[in-house]
Amino acid sequence: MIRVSNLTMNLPSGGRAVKILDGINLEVPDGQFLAVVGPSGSGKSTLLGLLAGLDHPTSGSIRFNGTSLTDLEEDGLARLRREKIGVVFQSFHLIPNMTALENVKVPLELRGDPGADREALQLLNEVGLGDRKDHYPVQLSGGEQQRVAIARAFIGRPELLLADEPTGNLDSANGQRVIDLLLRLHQDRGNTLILVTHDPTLAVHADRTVTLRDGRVVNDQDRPHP
Amino acid sequence: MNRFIIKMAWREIRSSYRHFLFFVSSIAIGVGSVVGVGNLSANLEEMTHLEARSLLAADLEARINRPLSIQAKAYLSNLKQEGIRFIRVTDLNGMAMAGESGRSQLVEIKAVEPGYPFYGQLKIDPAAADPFFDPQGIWVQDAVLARLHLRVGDELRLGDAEFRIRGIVRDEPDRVAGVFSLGPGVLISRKGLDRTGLVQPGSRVTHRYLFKIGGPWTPDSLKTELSRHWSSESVRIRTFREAQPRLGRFLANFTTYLGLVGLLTLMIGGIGVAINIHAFLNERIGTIAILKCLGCSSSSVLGIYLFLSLFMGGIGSLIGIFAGTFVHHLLLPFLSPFLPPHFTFRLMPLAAIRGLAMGLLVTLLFSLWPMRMIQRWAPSRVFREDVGVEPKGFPDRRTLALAGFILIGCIGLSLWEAGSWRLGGWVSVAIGVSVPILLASAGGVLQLLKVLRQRIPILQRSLVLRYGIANLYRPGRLVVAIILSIGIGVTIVMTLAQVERNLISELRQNVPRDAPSLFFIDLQPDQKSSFQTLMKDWTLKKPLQFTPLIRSRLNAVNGRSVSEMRAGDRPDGWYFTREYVLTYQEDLPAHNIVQRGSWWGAGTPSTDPDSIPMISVEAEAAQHLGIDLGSTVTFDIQGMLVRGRVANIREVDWGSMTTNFFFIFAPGALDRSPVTYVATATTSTDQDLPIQDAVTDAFPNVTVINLREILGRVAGILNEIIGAVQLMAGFGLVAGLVVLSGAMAATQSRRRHEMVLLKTLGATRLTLIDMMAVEYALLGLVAAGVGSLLSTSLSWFIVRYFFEIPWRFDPLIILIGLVATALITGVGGFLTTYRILGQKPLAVLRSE
Repeated sequence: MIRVSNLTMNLPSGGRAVKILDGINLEVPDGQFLAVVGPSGSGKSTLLGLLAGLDHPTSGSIRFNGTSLTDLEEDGLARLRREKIGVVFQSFHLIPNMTALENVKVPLELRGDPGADREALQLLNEVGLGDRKDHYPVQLSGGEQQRVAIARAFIGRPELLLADEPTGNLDSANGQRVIDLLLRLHQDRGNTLILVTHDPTLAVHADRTVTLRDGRVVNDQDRPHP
Repeated sequence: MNRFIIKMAWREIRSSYRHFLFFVSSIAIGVGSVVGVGNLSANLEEMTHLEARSLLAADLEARINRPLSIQAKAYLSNLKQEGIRFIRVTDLNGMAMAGESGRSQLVEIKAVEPGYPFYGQLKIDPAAADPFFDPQGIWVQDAVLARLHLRVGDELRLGDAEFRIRGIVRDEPDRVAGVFSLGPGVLISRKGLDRTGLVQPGSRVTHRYLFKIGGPWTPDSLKTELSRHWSSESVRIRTFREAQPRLGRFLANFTTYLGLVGLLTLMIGGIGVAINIHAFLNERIGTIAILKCLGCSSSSVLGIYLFLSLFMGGIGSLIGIFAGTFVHHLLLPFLSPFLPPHFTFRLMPLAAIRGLAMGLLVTLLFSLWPMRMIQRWAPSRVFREDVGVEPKGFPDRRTLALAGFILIGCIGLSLWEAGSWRLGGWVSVAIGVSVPILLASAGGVLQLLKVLRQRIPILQRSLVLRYGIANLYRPGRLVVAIILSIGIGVTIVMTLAQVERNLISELRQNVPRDAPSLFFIDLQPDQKSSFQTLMKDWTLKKPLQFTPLIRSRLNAVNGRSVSEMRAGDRPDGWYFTREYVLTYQEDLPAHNIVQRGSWWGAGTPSTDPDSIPMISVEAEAAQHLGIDLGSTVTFDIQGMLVRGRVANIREVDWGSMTTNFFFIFAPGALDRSPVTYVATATTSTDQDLPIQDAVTDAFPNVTVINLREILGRVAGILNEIIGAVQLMAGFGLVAGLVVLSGAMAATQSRRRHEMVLLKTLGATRLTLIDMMAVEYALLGLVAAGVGSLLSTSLSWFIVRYFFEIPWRFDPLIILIGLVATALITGVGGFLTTYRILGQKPLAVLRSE
């Protein structure tokens, strides 16, 4: 369970503080697929980043399964991500001097898991890139890079998966392939998935859709069960 | 220059001056080193040229090892009438003894006459109106008081006479630095010297006649006249212009070497410039593409960035010039033993101008290499994000021409700094050989690490190790440039350390076991037996040895007189005009090998059929003097001519640290010559001082030379010299670290991106620090490893071929070098990048 209370985030811009998030309250039960939508600049990615513990909010709190992210120091947040959170970015963010396999292994290696090699290869096979394991990011297409990034996000079996516009840099065919993969893995693993997107066709797959505008939640809607 | 270029360059400077911090620092350190040494060398040059009269204390000096003949003295009287003033200064070594404590000390005695010095200042403390009429007084250097535990007012014995210490000598214009002397100096009057009884036939005394010209005379015309009138006096005459003494030559050579190390520092700074410009241009690809899209030619773009680069190089040079004015404060303490006390330092504008020119030249040369890419970047890059990938394969003609131009520029700089084709050529060859070796070894080691990383399981398993190693050989990390710049610094420092260690150990440990430790000089024949009796009080390691000495000058070779040969004008004239100490001996001395001919004795007569005595000649002297087997050599021994025929030519081991001779006569030939003896004793360290004190007490005329003490002092001097070079080499190492930091800063954004990603994936700061530590320590180790290899080879070459002594490998220096470089690089790299650790991932990812 994720509980976000009165979350605000100010960022400096042109010498003054701009309010990016303005009093967000949100609860996400375990296993839910939540889509966060909204126009550019509405604060979607910032919210996702704060949920991932990549920065501290200006005020408010985030609790994740009883742990307060806002009370954790930087290294505590790093450990939490290592153990429980996976992140997928719009621009992939693979480490350029590592092969696909090495990129996928990193989270397990950080935990000191001896079976990293085997699991990473298995996951790469699962995303259809087993034969590209020794290729460097620069040698992969955008879609392939994002599939590697998804494999990397899932390898640690995270309880929470955060995806920031994962199809934003891809053409529609590759985008669809990536979203299918993301959903399949989410269903297989049963973890919580929070997906930031402004693509309405993506949001329809979600259990619930939250709409942000100017840093506020303006709509919170569950998908009607068929 | 096109206004557009200047305007554009100025805009770039205005918006990105922070980017050039390391660029400016690199050049500043290099120019600072060059200017620092340049200031010093210009001052020393000025001292030896402008103060040449002071260094000689006269316009002209005539130096002779025996009293002048009556005719020569008569000519001196004539000169006086022509308005030329002269005084006589007598120099000799002797033992000073403290009256009460019985302690003794070898001192350099200078006896002077009223009027001394003609030029420069004699500074004594307390100042006396004219100290030279006081036959009872003596003025001593501080060291005499310190070593004999005396104070001004105490008594001091020299030879047969007691003196009262009247004061301290602070500065004498013609006393060259103390390092070239056997002991501290004392000053007495001529009458005082007469009281000592130290000047006896055969004693080693130097008389210097100092002249101050007047009337129509010039130093050169007086030299010509004196040479003519004193042709048979074996006198060495030099004007103040020729008197740039050994010290001057030594300092000039020394500062040249220091300057070359400074130039290397500047070139390391040049690598920093290249790295900085490379990184900056990569950031500006978009701007350059847009400029080209808008119709700006490649040469205009080149002009913009070249102007910017030279502007920054100019600022770096100016900072360097300012910083360089402090460098001499660091260098002077090392050089003070070689400098006269009256040496004063002032800033030299020429050194500053030269520094600015060198700084700009290095900036130009090293900026051109990264700027060659400007030509290649097509305007279409404006539509593409991928950054400039260097073309693979063999470089094209234009690239080769540019490389050639830069190479020629660097050679030109070396020649300029070295001031001679020969030395400049050697430096160019050394750089030309070392840089490719450094580059190739660095590439080889990196390749090896790459292979090891894939083969060794622990490297595959550990993320920290794998990541740290991978960072070394990934593209865009500028690792080779970093290794090159740190490697050059390490190479210089470690070469010096190894050469120093070899020289010191050669000096300290390689003295032959049988070498005597105490030499007793000027022992008179009638003192020989009582000396032997005195020495019976001590148990020596080897029996006391006596060698007869006869002081002489070369008069003729194969019947042709030395004055006829005009030997003074030859570069090796020293062999003709010097004083020769002769001996006679039955047996071939130890450490001598007969090269040609045969030693006398068993079957070989000691005279030739015409009763001319046989002599033995040292090989090198024979070569310079044009002597061969059967040649005749005539010596002038206190006015008596003695001829000998060469029976053999010997090779002498001058490093044997015992009495060695250029000429040895067969026994009997020199029986009627005035002889003194040198006695040599092999003692234990604790015997040295008691023996020295007892001998000085009993035989005040005998000079005792303690070999152990002298070797200790030589080692001390060596330390000072190498210390100064090490200091300059230290600047090179600092420049290497600045290049490292510059390279780190240049790749900062990429590094930050990776670190943030790793953080996002759950890496703690400790993990990131471990990764950095592995990367930087490896970087240092590779640079130090490559530098060690190169420095070991260089030190072997220098020790073996320049110093001609056996080379020893010292693994400890290598180990210290490796660990220290890894540590310094680790800390330096960490300090440059640690700020990344504290950055919030979200802020970084958002900004990208």
